Amino acid sequence: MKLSRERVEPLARRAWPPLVLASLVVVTWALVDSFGGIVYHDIAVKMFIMLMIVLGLQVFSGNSGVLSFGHVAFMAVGAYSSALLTIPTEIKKFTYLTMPHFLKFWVFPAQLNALEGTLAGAGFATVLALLTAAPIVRLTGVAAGIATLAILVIVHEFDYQTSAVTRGTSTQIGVPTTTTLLSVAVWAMIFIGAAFAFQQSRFGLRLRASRENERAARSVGVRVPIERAIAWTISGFIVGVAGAQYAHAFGGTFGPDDFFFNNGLNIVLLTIAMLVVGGMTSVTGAVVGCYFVTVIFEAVRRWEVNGLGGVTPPAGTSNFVLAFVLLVTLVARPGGLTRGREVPWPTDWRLPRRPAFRRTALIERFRGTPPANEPAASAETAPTD
Amino acid sequence: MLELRDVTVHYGRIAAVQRLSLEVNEGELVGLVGHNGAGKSTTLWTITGVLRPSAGAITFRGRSLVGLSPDGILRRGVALVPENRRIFSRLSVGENLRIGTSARKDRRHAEADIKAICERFSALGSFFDRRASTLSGGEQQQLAIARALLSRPRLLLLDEPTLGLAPLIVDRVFEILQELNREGMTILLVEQNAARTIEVAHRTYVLRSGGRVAFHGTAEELAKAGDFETAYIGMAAGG
Amino acid sequence: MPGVDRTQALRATIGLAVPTGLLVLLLCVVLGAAKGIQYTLDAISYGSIFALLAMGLALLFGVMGLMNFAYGELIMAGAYTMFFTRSWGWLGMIVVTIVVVTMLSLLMELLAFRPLRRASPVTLLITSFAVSYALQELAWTDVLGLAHRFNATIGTGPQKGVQPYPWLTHQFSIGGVLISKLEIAIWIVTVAILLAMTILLRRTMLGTQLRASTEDFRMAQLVGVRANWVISAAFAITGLIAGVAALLYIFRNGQVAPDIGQGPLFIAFVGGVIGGLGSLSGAALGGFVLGVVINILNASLPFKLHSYALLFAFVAVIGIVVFQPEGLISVRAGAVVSIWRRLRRRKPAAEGAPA
Repeated sequence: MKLSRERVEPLARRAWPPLVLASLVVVTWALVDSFGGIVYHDIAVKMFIMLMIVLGLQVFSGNSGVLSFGHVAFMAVGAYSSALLTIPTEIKKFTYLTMPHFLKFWVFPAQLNALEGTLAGAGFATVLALLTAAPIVRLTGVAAGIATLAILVIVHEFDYQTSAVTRGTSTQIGVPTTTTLLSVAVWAMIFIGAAFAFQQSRFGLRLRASRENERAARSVGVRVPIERAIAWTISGFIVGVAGAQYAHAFGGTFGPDDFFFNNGLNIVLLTIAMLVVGGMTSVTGAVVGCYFVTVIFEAVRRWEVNGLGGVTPPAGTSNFVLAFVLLVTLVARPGGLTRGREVPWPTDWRLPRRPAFRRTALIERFRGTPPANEPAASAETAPTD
Repeated sequence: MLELRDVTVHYGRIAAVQRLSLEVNEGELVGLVGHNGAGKSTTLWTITGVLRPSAGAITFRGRSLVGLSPDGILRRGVALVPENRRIFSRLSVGENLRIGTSARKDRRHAEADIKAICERFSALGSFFDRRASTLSGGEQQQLAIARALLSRPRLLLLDEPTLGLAPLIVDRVFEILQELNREGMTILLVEQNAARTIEVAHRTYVLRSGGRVAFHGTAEELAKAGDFETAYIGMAAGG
Repeated sequence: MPGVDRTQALRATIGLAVPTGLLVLLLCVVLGAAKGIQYTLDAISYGSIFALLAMGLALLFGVMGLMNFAYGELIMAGAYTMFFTRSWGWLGMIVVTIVVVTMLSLLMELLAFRPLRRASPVTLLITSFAVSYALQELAWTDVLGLAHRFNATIGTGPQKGVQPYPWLTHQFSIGGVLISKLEIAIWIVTVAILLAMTILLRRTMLGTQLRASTEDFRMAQLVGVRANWVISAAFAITGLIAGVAALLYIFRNGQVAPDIGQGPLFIAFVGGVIGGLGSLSGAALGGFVLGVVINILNASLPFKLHSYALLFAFVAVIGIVVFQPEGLISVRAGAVVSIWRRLRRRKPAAEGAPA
């Protein structure tokens, strides 16, 4: 069979962005593994876990245009369920005395290895996704935001209160620290591929059509709730894996507030910020946003701890900077850094043009009088030009 | 009074109106007709500041309107009666009228004007306290026109005021417009109903797609421009 | 939006007040009349604060389609202002607090929401989150350096307090029922504000313009309504309400911390959604009822159970959002039938925000 340019190039073009992004992950892993100390190692592990969550979020929200505030709930479910099933049986007998019998009899004997534990955790997260799909997929916009936030609160409250199963605010004991930089890197690469595969698949295409114009998509036969449900479930699985990896990463010292709005590391805001800053509608945006926000966030964190040039900002500045960066992105460039584009094919790369009238447009927006033929600022749909 | 010169309006990359030039002199009733999608409504939205032209000049009584906000343009004296009337259905008729006086500073005269309008349009007077959504199509049209008039405009723009109305009401609307024009109101009337418009207007512009002027002139001139109706319909088909 | 449609209000009052009344009755029976009434009055004053807050949320939601999660931070700002002006005398404290919170609300509009005037509702939602977070973190980091002036640690330090004036909190007995002047003040203020809002919306030009802008913003501009003024007015009114609510809330509770606004925001938000953010009266009623219910549950149930209350509240939120996004205030007698029909037709629920 002749390998003609016409045959190969389209395939190469489609494979190019995921390959580039995966290589980015590989290079990061290689650098940190070889040269990084424990600090950078931990940062990198956290970053890859965040990347997985952002990828999961991208699969659902990026393709459907429905922003979910509640994805971290899947992380919580993945974390708790995988932890419960991987902690050695002897330890569980002491630490979960109050667990009800209908759970005890299969949780206690279970002592899964790392991979099984991760898959089990993701499985439970997927179950939650299936259960919650029905109400969620029929909603859009603010209503969906509210409903997904409600899911997050419900899961959080459950984790907080049902200490018989979750140990409430006490730390977990005995969770094997099986997450390595390599494991999260591999999972991240798998999910980069999965996110692209979904986006380019028929499901992804139909879903993206509904993102741009729901009514038009319905009128050509796209069954929007079903397509959304598929994406929702897949994203639940991805974020569940992230949660399972998280649980086994730092010695099992996680609690319900890790998966909610807390002041140290607000994963909810962090992941949404990463996705929005990078550009919600593209997988490249998810990756770029994750890297970009991590770099800035950690840089400010280092600055807080070590100070620079005699100036030491108070603790928590990093969170403030995060919120500020998110705000600036929304105002100035709601499509994110990538504006919904994937990694360009080398010969396609052009210098980004800077239209001259942007400044007046920005001034107008601060005066509150934007005309109706300026495209409406929208983080969740693809920019039109 | 109103002058558009080489106005181009884009929606994203698509040019809805290209290099349109027209003018409306004081006291005239000028018609703007054309098939659907020719750019008539776009032109009105651009004049009133809802859309921004990407090129061209729009001047009203010598001063440019480009860049002003819609309420600013209203204050200059240009009022719009939009397509589908767009009355505030959750407000009462009286409140709809009152809000038409938002831009005015003379409270007492405004109240007097409201009374006068209600006498002119009797339906509005009798339904003064009812929710505007309970009015019929023709009554809503009257309300929309009254609301625009209450801002004491110098130029009245109307976008397809007879759309969806019964023939008798259509007649009434055209009557009202002619009355207003006789009283001195300058009017730019956008209509699908080309024939009637050409009849009542001093001059009419005929647009085809892209907002380009195909014909322009008084009723006699347009009639003389050969087989006008076929050309008009021909334009609609060939764009 | 902001309608005070009389029949709706009546139905909502009956529909939401009956279960509350039953709950209160139960309380009286269990605890004895005096204590029961006391708890009820306490709950009513608690609920009133959330009625105000929910109404503030509904106002912004109605005018801009904006679900403002940064509302809680307005309360926080009010709390901190109260703390820093606690030695200024009660009038000074009240005036300054209201002014500061209103200013902050206007500032929020100017810097964060105005440039996003035509943004999609989801973008606005994310923005309000970002603003909320930025303000909270600002307080946590003590970036404003206010601590130095007072030699006290604010923020990450021990939580500070505002001691309510004794003459306000002193409880006196009426036939065995203990009431404080503060509670009476809360009722009076709440009713006054509700009345003021109603008058504003129904009888003033600004009110008419607000209601028109909610329905059709673009058309309102075309009849001469100044967009910026109307929206700024909405934010100012919201700020005022938040300032008053902050005063009442902190006088009751006393604590001042960067996340003090979170709790009230949640309750006001859930209550507002349940009551219906599309109508001021609905939201106020929803906030009121939820506040009353939570207060009564807090007081009467063992600790374990009432914590689950939040969980059930949010399950209710999902239910409302999916099945009845206009909130319970629009529930009609035939509502059960219509919900059933909707389920069977499998039509998507209508969008919650007005256009």
